[in-house]
Amino acid sequence: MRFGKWFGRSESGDDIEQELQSHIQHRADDLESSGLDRAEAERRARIEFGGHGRFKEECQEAMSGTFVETMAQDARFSLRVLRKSPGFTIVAVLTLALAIGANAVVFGVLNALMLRPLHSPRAASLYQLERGPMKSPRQSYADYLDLRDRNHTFADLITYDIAEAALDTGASTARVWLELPSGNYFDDLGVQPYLGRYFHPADEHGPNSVPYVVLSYSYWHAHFQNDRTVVGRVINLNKHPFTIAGVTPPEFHDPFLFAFPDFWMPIVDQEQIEAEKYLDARGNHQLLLMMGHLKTGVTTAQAIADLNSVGAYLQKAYPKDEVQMNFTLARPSLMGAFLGPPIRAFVTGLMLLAGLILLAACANLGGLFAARAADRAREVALRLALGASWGRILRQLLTEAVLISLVGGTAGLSGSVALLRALSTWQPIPKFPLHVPVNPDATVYAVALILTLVSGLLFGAVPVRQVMRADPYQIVKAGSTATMGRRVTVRDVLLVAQIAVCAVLVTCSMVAVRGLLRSLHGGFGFEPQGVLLGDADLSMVGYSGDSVAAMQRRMIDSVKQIPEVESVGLVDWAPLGGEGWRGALVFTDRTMDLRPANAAAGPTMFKISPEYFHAARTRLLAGRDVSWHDDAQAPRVAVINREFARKVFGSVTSAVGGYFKMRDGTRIQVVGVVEDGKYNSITEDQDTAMFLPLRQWPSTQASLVIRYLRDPQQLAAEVRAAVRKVDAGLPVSILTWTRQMDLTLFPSRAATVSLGILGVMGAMLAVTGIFGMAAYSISKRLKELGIRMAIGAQRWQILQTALGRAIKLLALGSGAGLVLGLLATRVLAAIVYQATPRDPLVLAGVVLAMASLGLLATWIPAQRALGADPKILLREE
Amino acid sequence: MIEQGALYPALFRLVRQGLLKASWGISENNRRAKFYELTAAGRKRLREETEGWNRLAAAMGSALAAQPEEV
Repeated sequence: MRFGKWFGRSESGDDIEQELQSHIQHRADDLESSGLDRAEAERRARIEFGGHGRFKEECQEAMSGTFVETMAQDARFSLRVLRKSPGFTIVAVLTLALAIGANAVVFGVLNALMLRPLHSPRAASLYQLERGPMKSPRQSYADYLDLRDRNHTFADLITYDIAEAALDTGASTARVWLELPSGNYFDDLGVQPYLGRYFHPADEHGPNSVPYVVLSYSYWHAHFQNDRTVVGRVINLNKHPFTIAGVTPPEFHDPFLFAFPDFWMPIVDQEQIEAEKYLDARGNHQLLLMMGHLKTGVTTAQAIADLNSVGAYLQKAYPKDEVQMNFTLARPSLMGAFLGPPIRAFVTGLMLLAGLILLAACANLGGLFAARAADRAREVALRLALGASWGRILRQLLTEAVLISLVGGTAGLSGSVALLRALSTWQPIPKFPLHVPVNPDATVYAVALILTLVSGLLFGAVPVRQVMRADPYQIVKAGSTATMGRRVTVRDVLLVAQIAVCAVLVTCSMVAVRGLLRSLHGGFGFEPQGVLLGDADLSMVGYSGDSVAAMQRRMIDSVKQIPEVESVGLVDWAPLGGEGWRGALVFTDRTMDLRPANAAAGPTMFKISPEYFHAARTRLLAGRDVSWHDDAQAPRVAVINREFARKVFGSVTSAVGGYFKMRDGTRIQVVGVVEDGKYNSITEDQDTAMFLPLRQWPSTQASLVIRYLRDPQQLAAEVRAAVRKVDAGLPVSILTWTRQMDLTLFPSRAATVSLGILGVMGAMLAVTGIFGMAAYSISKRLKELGIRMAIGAQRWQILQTALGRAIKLLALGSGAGLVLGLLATRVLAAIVYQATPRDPLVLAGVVLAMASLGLLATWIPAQRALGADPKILLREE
Repeated sequence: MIEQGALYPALFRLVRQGLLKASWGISENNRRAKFYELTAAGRKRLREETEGWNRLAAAMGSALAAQPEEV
């Protein structure tokens, strides 16, 4: 019933009608009884009643239901008006669709990465441990056990590692990603199995004691065809049998937001999967993520104090292994301090820029609406003269604006929802099981709706003052052209502001693109172009000890047979492959006390075969490459980079032939020095690095580095065949080195792409803004221009009159925007490598871009001004 | 002269303000008619307005009845 009152135009209308009719009938009855005949009585009653239609309308207005009704009326009228100017409507809707769409996408990402809680009950009290001043998120397993058992503030502590393994499906071997969690992982996260059961702490009885794995829903769905009988089936991972215990629910993946592993296997089975046995290695700190739920009522400060006291104990008990055992806590979703701050800063920055886009769009539309309102001054004046109220007219104008914003917002939102969905299924780095889960939820829809309404009201409100000031009498008398003044109007200010915002966006995107281009051609210390990497982990098929090196040599020889392969080398982890830091502490030869504090450097460590430098095109500055004769019987040798030589030996020449020591006291002789390079990230400061011969430092994991001279697609198949010739069961994943570097380049690429898109949008808005302003001012002054032309003005004079103002505003806005943009890009420099605002090319580019945008936007109006035919123009009106 | 129809917008306004309650019924000459009655709020408002009017009327009355020397 209540809704009937709000929306039912016909019902309340009928009700009023009936009541008024009943009044007239009653009056007619009275008159009839006084002697008049019925027809005359009804006529008299109607006359006495007065303006029937007017009273009915007044009654309707007096009722509350009229709010919706007049709104519907306004909406219908607005639709009619908008249909009459389709060009304006389309431009306005598209502008808003783009602006709202951009905001919805950026907010969708922000929402998913920063606002949405983890899919885990009690996610609010889940914290990740970070150690030392570097806030390292990785710890050793022995530390994990001590911290878990000795702390008093966590309900439980869990830990996990991520590894890759070969799944033997009978027909072939596939590489799959495993998460290796502690036994209490599922219990502490509080996630119920979708099928079967999980493993628990009670299952663990020392190394290799739990022959169970848990399957992820998506892997089960994709590779086991939702087969519910899969629980209890035995599968082979790295040739070890495991029983499938259960399947996780579809929403669950990992406390780290982006990782989507295929299997979960208890960490105690680690040595069956990974070549490196680390369960007892207390000093091996670069391994495991550790997190846990705080007990209820415990503050983070109390937990940190508790962890630090355990850390102090461990440091005293194991002085050789433990350093910097002080802890901090962080949210696990973005790997704490490792990824959190830069991602948060960047996404927030992006949100600000997207907000600027929306503001620019509103300024743009506000200008258009103001121009329209000026054009419609006559219509407004007429309506006012006929008795319409100011309120009604303003409401009409706002309805038009909100209608446009709703249509534009809906279009923008549906576009952005499609984009967000696509983003969620996209795997940015082919090698790793990472997704960016940014599916839109109710919050995203709500924010988009609010933005839509607010922007509609915002740009709808721009012409309000102008309309309020209008004097209907003057306008009807003189026409709307009377008040073309030279003063600065709201529209001019809006245009300058809008162009400034657009120039900021264009500047930012240019700086980012230039930074990315530079970082792609920067000094890596190797040449990733033209190289295939073939990843093979020999531990997956059971090689160990001496057979590893022999097998690796056979692989190299086999691949070398392929025609047009220039050179082949082997490295355990290719530089910039994104596997994280792998290093070791080194000491000068004179150091006797090999404590971590006395280390001379902590170089990144690579294990290589001969010819690796040749295949990677890393220049040898002095000395020699490693050779196949550098084996376990020969003296230990290493090739170091220039930075290592400078830091430990003082110079390249004094380094060759010199010695340094490892933690265990092994003396290593430097036989060669190579150029510096990038090893872990392209934004790192120059790091030290050492290259050790694979035969002295065996590693089952190794990448073939294949420099080729032809089509990589076809070559990949031949490499696979060549490896199969040596061992048929060994799975190899082959990627170009540049693809492999995607992970390290991903942040700057993502930044560049998003800034590029925003920059293009900014440019488009600038064009429509200038175009609208120029076209409008020319249409206003076409008559004047015609007269000038008729009395002999030159073309350039006409152009100057017509466009001078637009160009001046453009220059002003661009200048302001450029300065602001250069200031803003200081922030960018933190994310986009080598993004510097002090770059003459960028400056020139921005100026050129804004100038050509101005030219583009004023071209059509200018043509129109020049094409004005004074004869026709003066004949009009 | 005030037209009879002018009564209705006023009635609807009072209904919306919750001072009047309206319901359809049958009048003595057997036609459908709308019957209005005061609500509690309506009665209270009427009392206030009546007092206000009486005060004004009394003031006007005493003003009009005043002799020149009393002013």
